[in-house]
Amino acid sequence: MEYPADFNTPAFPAGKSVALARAMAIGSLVLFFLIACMCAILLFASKSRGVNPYLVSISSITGQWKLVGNKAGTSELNTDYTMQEAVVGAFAQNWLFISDNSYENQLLWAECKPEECSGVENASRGRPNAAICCGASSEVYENFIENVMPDYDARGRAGERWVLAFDTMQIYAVGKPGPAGGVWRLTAEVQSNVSGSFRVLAFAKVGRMANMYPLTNGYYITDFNAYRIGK
Amino acid sequence: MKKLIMFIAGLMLLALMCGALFFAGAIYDTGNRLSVETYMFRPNNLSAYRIEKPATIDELGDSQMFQLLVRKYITEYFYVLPNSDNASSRAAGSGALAIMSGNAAFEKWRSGPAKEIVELAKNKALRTVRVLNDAIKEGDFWVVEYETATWTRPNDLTASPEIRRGRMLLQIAYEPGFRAIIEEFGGVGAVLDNGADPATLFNFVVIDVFEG
Repeated sequence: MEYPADFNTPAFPAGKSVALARAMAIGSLVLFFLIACMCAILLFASKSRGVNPYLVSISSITGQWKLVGNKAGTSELNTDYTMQEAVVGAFAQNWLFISDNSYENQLLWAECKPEECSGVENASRGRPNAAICCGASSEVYENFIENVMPDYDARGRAGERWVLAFDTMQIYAVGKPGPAGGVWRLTAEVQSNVSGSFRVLAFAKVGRMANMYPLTNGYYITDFNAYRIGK
Repeated sequence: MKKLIMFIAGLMLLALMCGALFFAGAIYDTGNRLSVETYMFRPNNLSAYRIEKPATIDELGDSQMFQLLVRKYITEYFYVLPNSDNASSRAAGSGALAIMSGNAAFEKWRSGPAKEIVELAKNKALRTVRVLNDAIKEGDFWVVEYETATWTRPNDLTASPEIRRGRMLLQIAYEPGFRAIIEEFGGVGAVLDNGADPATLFNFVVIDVFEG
């Protein structure tokens, strides 16, 4: 030491190392405390129970219970599901349609050849020609011609018009539709210029024939039954 | 000679570069090949799917849950869809009714209403069920009144349904909560994800049924 020339003389020579040791001790303590907190959080997380609600819907018409969603579920639907839904919706609109113009009815109810049904331009312009025949199996079409068309034709000739109100149409799967088809339930309101509006409940069965019906990915209607359920 | 070798080497380098360009182009073409991703617009009015305020099991309460299960059971007992597969599979014992019934109740259903349901489904009939009141306990039985509406002529939109009212006496074993066996199948979530009817998860069994 060269006091007074050197004023930087430590009062306590071991002070620096003692301070360092204290700082490290405090640091270790904080670290251990944090580790203990993490362990507590881990224990809490593993022991705590999260709520995973399953939402169940009960149909007011059929009384069926159905799972409509859960926390882990996804709202995305695959193409097969959506396409079948679209086929059912489009077919119901054509089945539950009567025009007061006989020519329009004739076009809609016309018999079809398979090659006529695959024309994109035919389907994309309004109500397609021979839509009932092109969208369904031959049994369904024959049933329509034999049992439904005579009544519809008489109504059309008497000036009655039926249109399915598009925004009232609700379509639900009955069971679990697969890539080969499924059963669907549809409720909608039909508007008539003579008898007013009435509600319709319909059940449609969708089948698939991959080499036919190119516009709908092979899906077509194999059974269609509609019932009037009220006003 | 040296110049010739340099010229040939340059030529080879050029050829190599052209080859590399060709392969790079081929790889680019492959990488850029387009695929079609479909987006479909649904014709469905989805307002019915909108959930307002979900009722929790606490809000529903055990007695309310019990009444819902009774309604479900009555519906399963009588409903008819114009679908033979549905009726046949129910009669064969794979529907919700089979799970919610004891042996005596199910056999009674199978020997009576099930036959009519299969026949109606074959003829494309539709039957809906409405339970008219909450189940009331009378002695050992729960008494429920119901109404069925049956449409026997499909696609006849002038036809009115045939309305029938009836009364059922149900002997029920009910414990709030889920069936213990569900845990063996991976728990509630797994069972529901596999497409089980939610009503079949509850500890609700109809031991015997009487109509009258």
